[in-house]
Amino acid sequence: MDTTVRVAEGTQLQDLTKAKATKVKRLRWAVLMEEWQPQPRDTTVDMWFWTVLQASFYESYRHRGHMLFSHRVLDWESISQQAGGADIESHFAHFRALPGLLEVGQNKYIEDWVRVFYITVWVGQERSMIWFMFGGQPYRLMRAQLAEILGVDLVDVSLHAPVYGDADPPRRALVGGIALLTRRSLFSSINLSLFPTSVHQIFLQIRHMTFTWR
Amino acid sequence: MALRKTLLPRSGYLEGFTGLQQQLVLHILTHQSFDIIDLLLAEIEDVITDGMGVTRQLPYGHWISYICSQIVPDEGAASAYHDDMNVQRFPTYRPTVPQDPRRGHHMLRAALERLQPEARA
Repeated sequence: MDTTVRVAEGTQLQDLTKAKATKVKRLRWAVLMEEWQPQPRDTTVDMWFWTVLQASFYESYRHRGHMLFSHRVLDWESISQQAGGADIESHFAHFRALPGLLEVGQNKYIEDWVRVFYITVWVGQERSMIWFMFGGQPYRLMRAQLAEILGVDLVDVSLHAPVYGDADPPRRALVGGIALLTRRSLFSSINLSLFPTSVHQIFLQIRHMTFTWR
Repeated sequence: MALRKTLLPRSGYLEGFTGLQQQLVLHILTHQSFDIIDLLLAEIEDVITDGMGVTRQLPYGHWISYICSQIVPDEGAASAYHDDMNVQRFPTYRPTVPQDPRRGHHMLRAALERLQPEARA
């Protein structure tokens, strides 16, 4: 697609270049999917978007110069060499399809697709599904479908949950031992230390915290 | 560093080891399963909800492109993905070995260069 969004005469795009997180969230996160994708589709904007608001986000992102993250793909041999011969790949091999996703074979991207994805994507509650536009059409993919496409397993263990709890995005980097990051885990640490239920549990906790802080 | 360029994209704050990075490393090293899809979607959520003034780079371009290419037939909109003229490619991560003199912050490297070779060793 062209880099500039085409709109019908008389259609005005919103200037969101100065929008803070609160406004962005109000516009595209604290809304229902029916609001993000109202019926019928707005035909006064480029076919790549569903609404004028999405097109406005695209233009504002473009104006602010948001770039794609420059990923790297892994060459296990060179990683192993750097790690003094250690077999790093074997750690990743415990997770189905993960080594393949990180390897050289998986390095192609089309910038326009990615930009339109980020502008149009709507994430469902508890990250259960996503809705986005691609090639001028809306798509709705459940977590299971995403897992199937990427070939990974769906597991009921979230890495974000113990670190951020129920905090809303955008989440900021938190530094500290992982055992003490959330109120819940802090509480359980205190609980285990002050009101031990078994020696075995304390041993596990100490071992866990030692590993964490090292 | 390899994880900062792949699964949990981060640029900057090299000296920090955040809670999320610790969780990821811990799970990988101890082979504990975790939800990769949840991780990706949470990171995407963080990007799309941030203020426009925050320069968040858009991660997972290659996986997003791959997903798009898989949801429509080859002859449809996704055909561009199979044409080398249309795609861009992320480079391969080439880590330096610990003894590499180019490794580390430039201030540290400059200080090391001022040391005698015996002291440097």
